[in-house]
Amino acid sequence: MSTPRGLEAGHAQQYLTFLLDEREYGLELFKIQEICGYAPITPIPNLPAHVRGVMNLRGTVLPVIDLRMKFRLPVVTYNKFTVIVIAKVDGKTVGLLVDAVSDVLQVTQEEMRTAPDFGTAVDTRFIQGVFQTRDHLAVALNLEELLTESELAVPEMAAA
Amino acid sequence: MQWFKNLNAMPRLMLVFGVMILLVMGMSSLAITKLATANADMGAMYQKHMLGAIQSDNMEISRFDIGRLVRDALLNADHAEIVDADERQVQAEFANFRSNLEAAHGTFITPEGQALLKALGDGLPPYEKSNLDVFSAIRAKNLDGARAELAKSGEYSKVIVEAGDKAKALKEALGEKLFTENTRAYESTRALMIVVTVCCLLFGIVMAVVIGRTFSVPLGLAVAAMQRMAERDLTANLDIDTKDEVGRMAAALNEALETLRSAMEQVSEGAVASSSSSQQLASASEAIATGAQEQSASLEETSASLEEITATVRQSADNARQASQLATSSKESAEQGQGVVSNAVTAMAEINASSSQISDIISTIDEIAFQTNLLAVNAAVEAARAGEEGRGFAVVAAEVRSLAQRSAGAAKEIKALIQDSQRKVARGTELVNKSGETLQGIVSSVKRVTDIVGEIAAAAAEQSTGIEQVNTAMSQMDQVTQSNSAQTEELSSTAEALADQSARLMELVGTFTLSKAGKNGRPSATGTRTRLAAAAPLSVTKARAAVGSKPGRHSAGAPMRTTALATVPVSGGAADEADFEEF
Repeated sequence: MSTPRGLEAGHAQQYLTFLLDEREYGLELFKIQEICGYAPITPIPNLPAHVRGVMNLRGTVLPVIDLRMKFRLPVVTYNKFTVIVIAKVDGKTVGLLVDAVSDVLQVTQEEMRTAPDFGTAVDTRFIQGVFQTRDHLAVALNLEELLTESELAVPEMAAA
Repeated sequence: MQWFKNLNAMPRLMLVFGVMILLVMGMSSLAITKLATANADMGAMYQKHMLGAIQSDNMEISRFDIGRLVRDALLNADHAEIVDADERQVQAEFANFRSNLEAAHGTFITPEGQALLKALGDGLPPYEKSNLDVFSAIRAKNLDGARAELAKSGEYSKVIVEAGDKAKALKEALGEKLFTENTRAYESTRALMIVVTVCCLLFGIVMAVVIGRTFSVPLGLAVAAMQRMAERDLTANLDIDTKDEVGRMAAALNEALETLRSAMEQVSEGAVASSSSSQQLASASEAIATGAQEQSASLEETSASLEEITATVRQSADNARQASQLATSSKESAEQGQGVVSNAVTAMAEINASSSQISDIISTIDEIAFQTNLLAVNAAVEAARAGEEGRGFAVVAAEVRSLAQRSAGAAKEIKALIQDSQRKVARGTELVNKSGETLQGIVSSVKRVTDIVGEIAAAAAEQSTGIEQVNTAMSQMDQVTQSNSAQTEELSSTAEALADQSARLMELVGTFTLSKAGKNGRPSATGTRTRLAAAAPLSVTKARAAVGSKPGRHSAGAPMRTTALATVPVSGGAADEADFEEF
């Protein structure tokens, strides 16, 4: 990708960086509804593995996707420090299981770099770009690409 | 003659005596016969001739008396009493005469005598009458007539005198004749008797000698043999083959000698065996004594070693005791250490607990920070969404976030510190645990050491006991060895005594001649009494052989009768058989 998507020239975008397997990833801030801590997830059968199940967020049931499993990273046991990032994508609310939330950063377009080839660890479709955080690089993820998979095919439950 | 010799003594003697008695009886019957004859002759002499002579003497005496009396009467014619007395006496005398004459009829039995007697008888009355007439005359005091009568009687008396003289002479002659006959008979009888006596004497002597010899010779042989036996020559042999008592006695004696010989031979064998045995015994007892001495020496060595061992054991026991004490003190120290360790552990556990509490609190703080962070992020998100209006809020949110981060950072530091502390505590606990373990190990080691030391002590005690027992056993052994020694000495002396006895026995037996080949050579006393350790049965043999043979007094070349004395070759000498072949 030559041009990071969604980023206008000279315009700083706020990104939320989170940790996933000690690697920082970034998500555009305004796509994020909120961040909450770990909440009980109810598994639903017949779903892809990285869709852990659904959770109840103040009456809203939304699917929770395990990004670790999505990125084929080793699975860890999630504890109370696990963060679920509630993101709104294409009108669909989804929860993303991440290790931790790091920071909210202002990233200018100049700071956004093109992502190198990571190999098979991360499908580069998802990657918007790479930007420098305080001490290491973070990978900006493209939520739409990330979430247009069939995992979004969650039987939508009627919100209470 | 053999049958004679085979008679028993009694019959033989009786036989001989019988014969002798017969002879004597014969002789005495002869003598008696002859004596009877002599007696008859004497009787005749007396009855007939002496009496006859006496009678005729009496008659003569009567006649003389008559004559005297008559003359006396005549002389004493005056004395009537004398004459009476004389007459009476004359009458008595005549009575005497008559009685004598009467008696003479018995004694003068020959015709010549009878004639004389008749003459006397015839001549008597006139004589008597004339003598009586004398008395009558005397009484009648007719002395002349008396004298004349006397002269007549004298005349008449002549017949009587003559007859009387003849009778006397007859009797004398007859007597002499009878005497001569008797003498002749006596002489012949004497001669006969002498001959018979001599014969009997000879016969008797011969018989006596014969009989005597039948007894004395065998008896003499027997005596000689027994003498030889008494002189310890057992080779005597009686060669008497009669069946009488002496023969049987000789046979029995032979048997007895044989028995004695064989017994002596056996005794000799036994003595030799006993001698050799006693020598073996002596050497064995010496060996035992030597062994006992060696044993005694070994015992002493063992005793010394035991003492060393005892000292060592004692030392070991002491060491064990010390070790035990040390172990005990170690154990106490270890236990103290354990106490300290457990205290330390407790303290650290408390520290851990405090740390955990702190940790919990920090976790709470961390959570708070986290939640605050989330809230701040949420606030930032909302602020970002709010755009311009939210800028101040975003700043606040940013500040809150930074505070939260600081708090989180502090919490993290504290957590790090706590973790560090916990690590350190864990390390400390680990170390303490390790030291606790080590101490436990020490304690258990000490316990094991104590056990082992206890075992050592027990072993030492057992060793002590064992050594004690060994000591006891050794002292017992020592006693036994000593008693063995004493017994061995006794044994030795007994063996010596036995050897002595054997030697004496052999000497004694040696003094007996047991074979025809001369004496067995007295074994020298020294031969068997040589040092018991060195003596061998052979020395006896050598000694015996060395003594050599006594000079043989018998013919050489007589067969040697081998003795039963093992391999002792009896030295030279000849048989004694010659002795008994003379019989």
